[in-house]
Amino acid sequence: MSSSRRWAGVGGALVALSTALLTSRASAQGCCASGSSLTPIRLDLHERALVGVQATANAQHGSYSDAAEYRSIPDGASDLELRQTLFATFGAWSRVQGSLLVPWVETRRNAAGTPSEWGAGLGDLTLAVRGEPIQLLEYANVPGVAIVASVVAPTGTAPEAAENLLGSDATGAGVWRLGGGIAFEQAYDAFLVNLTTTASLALPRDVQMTQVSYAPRWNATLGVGYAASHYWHLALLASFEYEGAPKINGVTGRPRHHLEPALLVTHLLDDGLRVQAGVNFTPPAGSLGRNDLARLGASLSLVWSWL
Amino acid sequence: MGRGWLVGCCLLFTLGACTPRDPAHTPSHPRLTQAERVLASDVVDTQSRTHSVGDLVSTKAWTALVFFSATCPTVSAHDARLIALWDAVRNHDVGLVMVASERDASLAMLRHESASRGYPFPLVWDRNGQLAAVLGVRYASQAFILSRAGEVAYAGSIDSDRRFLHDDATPYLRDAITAVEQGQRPAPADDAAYGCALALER
Repeated sequence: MSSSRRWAGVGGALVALSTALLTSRASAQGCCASGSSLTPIRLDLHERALVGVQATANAQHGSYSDAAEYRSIPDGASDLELRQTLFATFGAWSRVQGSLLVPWVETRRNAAGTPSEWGAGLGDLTLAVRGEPIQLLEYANVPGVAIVASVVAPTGTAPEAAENLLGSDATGAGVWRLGGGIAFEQAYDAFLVNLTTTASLALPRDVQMTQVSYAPRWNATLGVGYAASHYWHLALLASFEYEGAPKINGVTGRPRHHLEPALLVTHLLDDGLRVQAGVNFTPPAGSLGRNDLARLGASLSLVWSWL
Repeated sequence: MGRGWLVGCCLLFTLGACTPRDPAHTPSHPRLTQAERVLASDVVDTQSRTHSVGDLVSTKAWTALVFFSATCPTVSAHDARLIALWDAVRNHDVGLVMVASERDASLAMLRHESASRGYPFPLVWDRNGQLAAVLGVRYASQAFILSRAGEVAYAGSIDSDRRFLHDDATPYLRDAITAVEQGQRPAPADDAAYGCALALER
């Protein structure tokens, strides 16, 4: 099957899934697509705490060159990452919530002509904080505003510490990363529009005899949530990430960027229980990525929350 | 540049954190108490007649107000419970009124919603959200019990459920009505409200 036909099939499946969910809604259009429909770790209105587990699978289908050309992964090669993340969010005050994410990572990798290898281990822990100086719908015609901050700790196995031939047992970036950003959010009837922009910087480090300093990483995510019914919420997200060129022993490397759309479906099973499924994929169009990997993934989250 | 961002973020957060939550304590009407401003607020019924809240609450010793949103699942989920509550107290000295305060509400919409949901109690239009502002309402399904004097005897939720109803839910509003009828102070008298954020004019 040619690459274009394969991707046309994936796109068609996504459109069909969206259409089916939108047209088979069990009840009338519901209000209140909430931030929790855009990401499972966010508290919904009135919630004070949540815990959850998210399972994701991402398979590399190609990569982008320095000339921003897409190339499919070579025949016989594969790269599959499975990740199970335990997360908890606590609303210390009505406008501030903090989250802790603890991932467990498994990677299956093989190059053409080599046997596949597996690696697994604890990934990098993330601590995230979200403050909402202006909450959604607090004022007419004024969007909700949130300040976000995060710290990623290098608790996983760094790439240079990996022992497998293809590095499949590397489960972390091996570096502290500090981030911050701002998010705007506005509701329009059953729709929610969210724009989140963040910047993060990994601290410099020495890798064996090599000094590595990193450039800032920028991310902008536009999300549109839709309450298809009182119990089914949809969200479309498009995330663009750009990271400047790192310096390795004073030599400037190459910047990278990619665009990754995602579709999320949230089903409310009870007031304190929701399940969220999603698909994400990096489009195989060269101009949308550079010096980066292209992947196709799916996720499934289960969230318990308390008022 | 970085310091400017930091200062801007701090100012923004301070602005939000300092926003008054209880309009009863704002100095916009320094000579009127909250009860007086509640009684002076106007609402419109589905026959297009304008009433003061004072008129509305004068017919019963106690009047329960529940704030309405046509699209809020919490309100829709509680329709049957509210109708049952009204049925239980209709012969008591207690009234029940739904109040629509959202900026996109209209009389035509309220007539349709009241009829389609089979509300036996009034659904009134709080045009411009005046009453909601006086009571500091932010969420649909938020419930109050007012005395004839406009004093708030209970502020909170209908019960402990949100979208999904459970048989073991704690009926806060019903318990509060029972308490005020017996001359007692409802407990909890200021519980959290669990509905949807209202789109108000402010």
